Amino acid sequence: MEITITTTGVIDQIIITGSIDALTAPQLINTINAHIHDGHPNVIADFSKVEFMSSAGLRAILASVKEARANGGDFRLAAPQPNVEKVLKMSGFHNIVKVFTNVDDALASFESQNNG
Amino acid sequence: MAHTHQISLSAELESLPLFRDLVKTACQNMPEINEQIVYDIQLAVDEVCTNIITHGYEKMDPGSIIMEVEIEPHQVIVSITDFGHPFEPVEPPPPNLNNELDNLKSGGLGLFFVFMSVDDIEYQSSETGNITKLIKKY
Amino acid sequence: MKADSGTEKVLLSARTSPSLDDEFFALELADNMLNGIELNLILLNDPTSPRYNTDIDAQGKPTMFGTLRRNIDEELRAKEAGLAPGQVRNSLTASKLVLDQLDTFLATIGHQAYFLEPLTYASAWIFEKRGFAYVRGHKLMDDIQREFQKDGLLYKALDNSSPFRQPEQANSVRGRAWAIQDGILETLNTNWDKLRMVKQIGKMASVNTFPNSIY
Repeated sequence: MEITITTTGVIDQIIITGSIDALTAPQLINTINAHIHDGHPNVIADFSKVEFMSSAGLRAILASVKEARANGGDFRLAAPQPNVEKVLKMSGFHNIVKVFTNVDDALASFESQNNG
Repeated sequence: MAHTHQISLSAELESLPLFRDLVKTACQNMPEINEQIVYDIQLAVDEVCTNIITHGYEKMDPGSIIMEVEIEPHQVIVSITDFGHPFEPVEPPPPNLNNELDNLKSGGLGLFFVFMSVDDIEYQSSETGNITKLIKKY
Repeated sequence: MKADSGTEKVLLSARTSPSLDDEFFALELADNMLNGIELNLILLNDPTSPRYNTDIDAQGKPTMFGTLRRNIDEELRAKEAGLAPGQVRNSLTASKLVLDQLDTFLATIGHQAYFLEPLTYASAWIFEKRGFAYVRGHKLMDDIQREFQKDGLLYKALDNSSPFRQPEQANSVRGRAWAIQDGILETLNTNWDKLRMVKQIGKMASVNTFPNSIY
């Protein structure tokens, strides 16, 4: 798994590539938490390059969502591949985290919120 | 005719990608087994192995996990053998994600995925090892 | 064949003369507490090859295959002659034949697996080739493989500080086994202990912790 962070205005995009499993999830949690605590509580996770995710990955996202919200921001997920999206749905995850079909929609959701 | 793929690796998290890869390799050249089925099996395999690694071999010098993938007509059978503490998979209730973070070590969410991803699960434990069998129809 | 009443052990052995020194085959099986079978000992020596007294120290006390105490001079001669730790003679190279027979025998009396504790790194490697997996110690074998790579901790500990710690030993099973016999695992804060292997009868586990190895 690789993690790249890019910043557009107040919204940060975390691009994750590869597999999120019990081996890699701790690294993801640490990176995202460090970023949030660095004063960037609004985060979009670009999932378009995530090929595999297990329950350990879901827990990592859950932890990130809670951390972002506790710091006055939000963690939103964009562009999951169909298999990963199925895992999200199976667990009822859609009820907790906002999932968008692409990064632009996720960006727009933050902007409309900031404007309104 | 059925054919079998096998790999035996140390019960460490570093082995997880290799176990998932074996599922993919075993299902290659089988046009009837689509990507969705491969993913479901990989997910179940990943979760079962994660449980063995983090709970089964907990506080032990880890031994082996032996994984065998058999492609039969209309079904894939994955047999996972380990020598840690026995840990019978029982179907958990659907996850309550609000509680999940407080129960990080419960393994309940992972087991839920296993039961959702395959058609049948068989478990057998004896002094000669624990065998988890995952059966996925295609 | 020796099976004393009151014990759970049976020892099969064969020798070319009445002297124990000429024993070329020994195999000890035992029932364990869990109704399983332990292979306590398997010894296959070529009786025509030279003998190295690595099994007794200079005072004639048994070394228990070099685990309890060591006979350094004899070990050095054995190492030079191409033997692995724990060996007193060249091997008969018949382990496949013997273990195949054992598999068949244990299957006929209804067992599904048997267990052993590998004496040395070299014997663990041989049992991998013969289809055994690890009950305990697979991770240790992976750690050993990783740390014997260039720049690894064990590789660095092959520092010429003793005849059993020569850099080229990283490249072979026997070389690593002698370094481990010499206590090199202290570098990893561990030792050669608590390894346990299992053979599932009729199955080959295909463990390979030292890919592309030379013996």
